Amino acid sequence: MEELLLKNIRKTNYQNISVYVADGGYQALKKSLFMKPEDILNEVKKSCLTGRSAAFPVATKWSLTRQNSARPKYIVCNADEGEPGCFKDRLLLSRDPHRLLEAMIITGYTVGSQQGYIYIRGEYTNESQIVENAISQAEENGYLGENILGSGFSFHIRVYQGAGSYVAGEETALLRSMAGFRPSPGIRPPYPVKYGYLGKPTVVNNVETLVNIPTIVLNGGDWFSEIGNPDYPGTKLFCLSGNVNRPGVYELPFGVTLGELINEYGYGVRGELKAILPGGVASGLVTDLNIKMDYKSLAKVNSLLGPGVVIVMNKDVDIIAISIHTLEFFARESCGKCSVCREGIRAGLTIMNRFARNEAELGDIELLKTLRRLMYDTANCVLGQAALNATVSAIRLFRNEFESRVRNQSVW
Amino acid sequence: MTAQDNKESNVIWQSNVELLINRLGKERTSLLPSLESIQENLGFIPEDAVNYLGEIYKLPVTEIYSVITSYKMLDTEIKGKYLIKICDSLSCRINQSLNLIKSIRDILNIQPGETTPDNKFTLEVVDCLGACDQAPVMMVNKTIYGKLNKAKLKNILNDLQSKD
Ligand code: SF4
Ligand code: FES
Repeated sequence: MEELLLKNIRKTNYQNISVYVADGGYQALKKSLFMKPEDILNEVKKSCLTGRSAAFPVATKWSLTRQNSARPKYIVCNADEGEPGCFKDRLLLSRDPHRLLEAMIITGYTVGSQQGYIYIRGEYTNESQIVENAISQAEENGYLGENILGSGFSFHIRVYQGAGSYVAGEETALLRSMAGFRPSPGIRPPYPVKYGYLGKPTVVNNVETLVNIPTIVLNGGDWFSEIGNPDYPGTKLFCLSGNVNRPGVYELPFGVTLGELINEYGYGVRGELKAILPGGVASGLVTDLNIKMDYKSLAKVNSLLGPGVVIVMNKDVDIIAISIHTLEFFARESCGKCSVCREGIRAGLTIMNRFARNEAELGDIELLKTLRRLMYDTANCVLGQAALNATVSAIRLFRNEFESRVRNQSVW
Repeated sequence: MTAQDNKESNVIWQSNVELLINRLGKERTSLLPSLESIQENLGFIPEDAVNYLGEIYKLPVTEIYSVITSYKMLDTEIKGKYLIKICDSLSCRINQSLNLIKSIRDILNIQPGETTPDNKFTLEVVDCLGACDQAPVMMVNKTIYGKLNKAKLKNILNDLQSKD
């Protein structure tokens, strides 16, 4: 299918504003500045574009921020790509930075904001540099800064560099990080649209969501809404990695099957397939290649799409070791604010380590499931809610591997 | 580091923080950028710097340390000249990152978290570096090395060994 998101990444020198402009760049901004903000909002609404992580309608988020009478308002682009297995933002930031800027300026114009921030993960220093350069070029050429293209509208963008925190990718934690506090997720509501950066109305969208905006403005919301899967228009980036022959970022419609993604695009599993994490370490494992990659289909099999991170594992992978590995990750990254998350992950690890040593008790399987339920119901943010997903899904799919590690019942 | 070097780098980090605060303001929103700038200049954030920031932002030093410790890329101890971050997140793990970590330990004779006695190398095992299509991956200072294997790793480390 036609690429909407990756269409520019193979073009040379696209970071250079003159190349971008010669290729039709900043046309959507020009068009927007002649439109009324509510008409742009209407196009975005018609496009049915949803956020590419939590599937929340973009137009709703924007209009809530727009309606709010508090000033100033902020636009924050979440480019804190920290999900293990995720490497799509790096591509968009480094190969097509102006489109992101263009999208943010249009967003600012639509919701009535004059200041945008791009929060880029700390390790992406080269990408930050590229984006900084793009910002200077856009300013020099009148697309960014005061009185953009003589329209009277002013908008500024600043890069905010992260410093290595997974949980900072959660939007409220991200805003706290920008404000100079420890990045720990807050309690929502209030949502950032009402109480965001420095307590002001803030639109937080991620890179993949935002880069759709110029295309929608140019071609119209109706046009966009007819692309791909009718339930989730547009395209999705899938980051495919692990035991697969051709790992990479692939742009496909929602609802593509895991089998197509892995076999047609990834050229097949390296070795014999054991399991797949279809939505990153927070999702549940699956084994069925017929599963469709969209929010509803994955929820049906107790998994989730998340950011579109697909990690393939072959039969050499020890599922118990992998469950422990994901739990160790969450243990490191938990902000520690809720005891159920902080202690729950630790308890999960203690139990899982009993399986690793072949010393588990039969009741441990049920214990893990109860623990997961408890954490899912009571943890404050998705980190704690999802920390045991991989483990419990492993039990469901590979129960015999768990049972075989239960300590031999003593024989009298 | 000689006393002279120390003095010079002191001047650099301080004037950089001043420049940054002039640009971004004295509010707490510039705290993380200030910390990042010091980390970039010195490779770590010394106690003097924390005290200095405490005065500027009118914050207790414990508050500043609480921010520092919530980020993996901010350090309170000096690191080696080459900071090796080897990824052990899932995609790299299933592509044999553990073997590579073992090789680095053997070659440099240090454990994760340690620095070689000549202060040349620090080894850190980290989470995803966002280059999983090239797993297994490591980053040395700002350079990413992907599709690593034992031989490639040896070459890279040898090259760095022979540089100053
Ligand atoms: S669930 Fe975990 S990571 Fe999320 S707020 Fe609670 S302690 Fe922090
Ligand atoms: S898992 Fe190692 S770079 Fe992403």
